[in-house]
Amino acid sequence: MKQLSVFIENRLGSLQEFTELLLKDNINILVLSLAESEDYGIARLIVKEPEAVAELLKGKGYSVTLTDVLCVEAKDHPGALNEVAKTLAEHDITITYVYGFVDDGQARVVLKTSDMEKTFEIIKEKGL
Amino acid sequence: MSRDEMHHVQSQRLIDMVDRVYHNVAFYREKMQKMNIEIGDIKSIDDLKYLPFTTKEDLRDNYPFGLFAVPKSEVVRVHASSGTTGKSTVVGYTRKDVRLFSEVVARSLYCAGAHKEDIVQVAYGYGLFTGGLGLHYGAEKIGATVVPISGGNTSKQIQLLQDFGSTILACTPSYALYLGEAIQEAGIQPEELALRVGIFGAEPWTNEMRRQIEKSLGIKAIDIFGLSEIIGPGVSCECEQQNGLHVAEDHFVPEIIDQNTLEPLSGNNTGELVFTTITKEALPLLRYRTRDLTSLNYDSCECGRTNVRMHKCTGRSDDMLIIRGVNVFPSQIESVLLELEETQPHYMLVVDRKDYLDTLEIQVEIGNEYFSDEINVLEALKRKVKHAVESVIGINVTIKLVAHKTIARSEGKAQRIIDNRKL
Repeated sequence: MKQLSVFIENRLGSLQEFTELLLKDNINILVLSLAESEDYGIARLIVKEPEAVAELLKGKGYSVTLTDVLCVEAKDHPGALNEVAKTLAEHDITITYVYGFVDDGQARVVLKTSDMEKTFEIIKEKGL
Repeated sequence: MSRDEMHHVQSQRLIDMVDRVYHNVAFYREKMQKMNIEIGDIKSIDDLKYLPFTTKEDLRDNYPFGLFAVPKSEVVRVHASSGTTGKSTVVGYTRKDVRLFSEVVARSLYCAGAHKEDIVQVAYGYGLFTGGLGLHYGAEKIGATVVPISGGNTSKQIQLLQDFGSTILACTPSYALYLGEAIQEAGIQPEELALRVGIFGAEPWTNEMRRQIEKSLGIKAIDIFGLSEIIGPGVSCECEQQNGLHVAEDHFVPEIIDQNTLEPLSGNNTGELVFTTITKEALPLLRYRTRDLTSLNYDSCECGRTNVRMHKCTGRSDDMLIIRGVNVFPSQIESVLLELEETQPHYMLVVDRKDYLDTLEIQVEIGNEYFSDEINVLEALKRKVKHAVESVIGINVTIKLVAHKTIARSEGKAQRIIDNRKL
């Protein structure tokens, strides 16, 4: 799955400007996670047609990158994420970042790891 | 000394100096030949206007010792201008020059009201920078007691002010402000200290800063001016009237020129300050363009001194910034950014003063190619830029990543500096 990452300045109104742009083109954000630092943030978004949205944002001067991420369905009960994290740790895979969301009653986590291919195989194998 | 006597002294010394640079410095000989000036054409100080200018660029082009007028064996000390660790401007002193340096600082100290009984705490940095050693030698020359503590280490500074009973403090004005606040925070009243005079320079400061320093430290704050190219501190200094800085014009002849036409202006006009060092041996400079903007006052002072006074400098004719006493040129930062492939030559410098210390923030645009979805990667990029810039300009900076194309593009001279210090 492609994730769209966007550089957002850490200042008053910057998220408003950004979301207004999406609104104008009727773009729906399915999932959003924002990592913040002192002077900037990285908005990580899951949208339909990420390539098209990336082009649109680039045209408006935003710095944008598309990244492959994994979306894992987690069972909606305690310990589900722990199971994923434990499995990855056992295989020496570090998690770069992770965020979760619930879609239609189904809990899911978005993952970026140090070795995406291996992660994909392990998760497939384990049926996570 | 009357103006006539000064004119005579300056004229004799200039004639001697022109003879020396013509014979000993190829750079000046070639310049004078190109301009068709012969040694004999210079008959008095009034002929100064026919001589060529010298710029900081010239010093850099002849780095490190190219403009020295004496064999290197005669040079007993070098200093280098603060700022660049790349190509800085190097200045040299013969034994006689070091004596002259001590002499003009000693005069400055007397001018500021110092005498033999004083204890002078020198909180300027010691090293390649001329401030520390300059004040040190001058204070020794008047027979005062020198406390060579150098810059920083505020708690020690305060302790020695208390224990030694230092009566004179020499440092940058911003450090004096900082020290004043630190003293208040430590619960010490200014009256408890023996401090009575401060000699502050190496960076521009306002009269508001002066009042604040005088109040917080309970002293008289005196402005001292100098630049390493000319000799260091002691080129000029205020007297107790605090109404203009008396120039040691029997050694350093000041002129004011129009910064665009380079024509000399009469003293009371504001323009670029130019100095000719008529007695210096190792690095005599003809008409050195300081880029500082000020004006001159030839009226005699209430203190009785007759030498010309320069007003506090009001600005600069180039874009040089003085940050914590260090000279910083935006072009140096630009060339670092151009060398790093991750950054674009679009940047903004934001200078501010927080807790009485200057800060420099460099805003750098993040382009698409180097943008990452990981904070770690972007933080590593910031560190890389920070190291690269700091290794060239020699002071601490903070890097701020800003969005692509947020820094205004300009066809002409771009506005690249925001100075919030209100100097």
